[in-house]
Amino acid sequence: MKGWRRSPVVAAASIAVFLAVQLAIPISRIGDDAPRFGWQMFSTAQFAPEFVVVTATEEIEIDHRDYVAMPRADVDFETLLPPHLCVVVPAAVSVRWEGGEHQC
Amino acid sequence: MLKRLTTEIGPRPLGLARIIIGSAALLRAIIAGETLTALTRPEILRAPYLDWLPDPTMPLVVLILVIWVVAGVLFVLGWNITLTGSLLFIAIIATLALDQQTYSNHLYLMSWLILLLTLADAGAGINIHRTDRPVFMWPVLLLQMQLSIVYGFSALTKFNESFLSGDVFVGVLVRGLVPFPETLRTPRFLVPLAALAVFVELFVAFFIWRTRFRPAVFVLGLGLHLAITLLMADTLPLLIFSLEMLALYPLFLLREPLRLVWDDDCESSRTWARRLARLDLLRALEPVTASEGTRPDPITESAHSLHLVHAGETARGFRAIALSLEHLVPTLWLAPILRLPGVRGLGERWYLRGGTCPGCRPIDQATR
Repeated sequence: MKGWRRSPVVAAASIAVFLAVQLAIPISRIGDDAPRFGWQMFSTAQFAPEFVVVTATEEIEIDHRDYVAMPRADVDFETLLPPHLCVVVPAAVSVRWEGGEHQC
Repeated sequence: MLKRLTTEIGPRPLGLARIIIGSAALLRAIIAGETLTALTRPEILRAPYLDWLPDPTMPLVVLILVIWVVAGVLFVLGWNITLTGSLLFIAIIATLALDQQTYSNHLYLMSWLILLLTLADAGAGINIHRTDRPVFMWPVLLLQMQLSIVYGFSALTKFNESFLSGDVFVGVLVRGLVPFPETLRTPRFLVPLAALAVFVELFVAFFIWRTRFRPAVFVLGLGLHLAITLLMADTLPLLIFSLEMLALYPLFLLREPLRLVWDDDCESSRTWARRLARLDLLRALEPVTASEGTRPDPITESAHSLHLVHAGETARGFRAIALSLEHLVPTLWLAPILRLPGVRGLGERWYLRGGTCPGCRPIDQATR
């Protein structure tokens, strides 16, 4: 195991690959709306979208913590959660949130 | 230049990093367990990266967590790092890959650190076998680079209106272990605080590589991590992130020997040498008694019975103690405070009052 570590060529190649990956990925993610893999730690305000499930008789305000494993700002919950709520909330007709609506 | 990359160095700072990061990985298993278990419940949204990836079923989750914890414990102990590091890395990658909701920057960072520690043969120092063997420099260099890259990009991505206006702090300085004073939750305080956070991250990223600035870097880095861990919400993930980063700092300590020369006829000198040796987890100090010396010392004063010889320079008395503490874990993060003019003056007075040995024999800086 120790033998390959002894090689200066392996050392130089490893450093080159490491730097290429570690610099290329974060640089490519700068300015991304859903940043991850780029060390963007607490760099922008987090938000928790609020969803309302509409049934034939009522409107139910959804506590997203009941339906998501981890409320992360970099997960596109506005796209993913409404279809899921249509399946798991009985009698859901549509799902509304600020700036959008999804028909079940 | 290439040859220098394969220089063999002492393994103990790397071993310490392995123990701290491995322990952080064990703590992180608690959060991973919660998230993965939640994903097995039918009412919880699943957000796989790819459709063909397996669903996080309970047997799969248990398997991942068992591998994570067992490999993590053995990794901390330093047992067969190639095997245990690889298994721990696989458990973390499996967790990250199962669902978009399992991602976090500190878990992603942990996967890199475990990979690099495994590459570096981090079990070579401070291990269950109680035997140290040297390691090669270049994988340690990768870990050092990782630190600068994380702080550097973290600072760069904060150059935006949302962060620099203090808006981000309004949202995150809540529900911390230590409550953030409401009176300070104003732009007048939060805007400079945001700028300070960016400055500290950039300062650490660049100046940890410079010997001259390293003491300041250690103090600022510790301050940064204490602040985010104590003041911000979600203490456990932030503690894990802080452990991951602070574990890398000792890798930057100088590798040249620090020769601690003490007078074996002097009680206070002996006491201090013993105290410092007890703290010397990384074996940075090379204690030498004055009786091992061969020449009279022309430059030292008898009052200073403790000397630290490093890189051709000699520190005496209180300064020798302070400089030694800067190279010892766990004092290295706070010892630089002893350099501050007022503190240094007080320390020197205290040392001369209680720690001197009038009449002690002079100690030769070039002992042996």
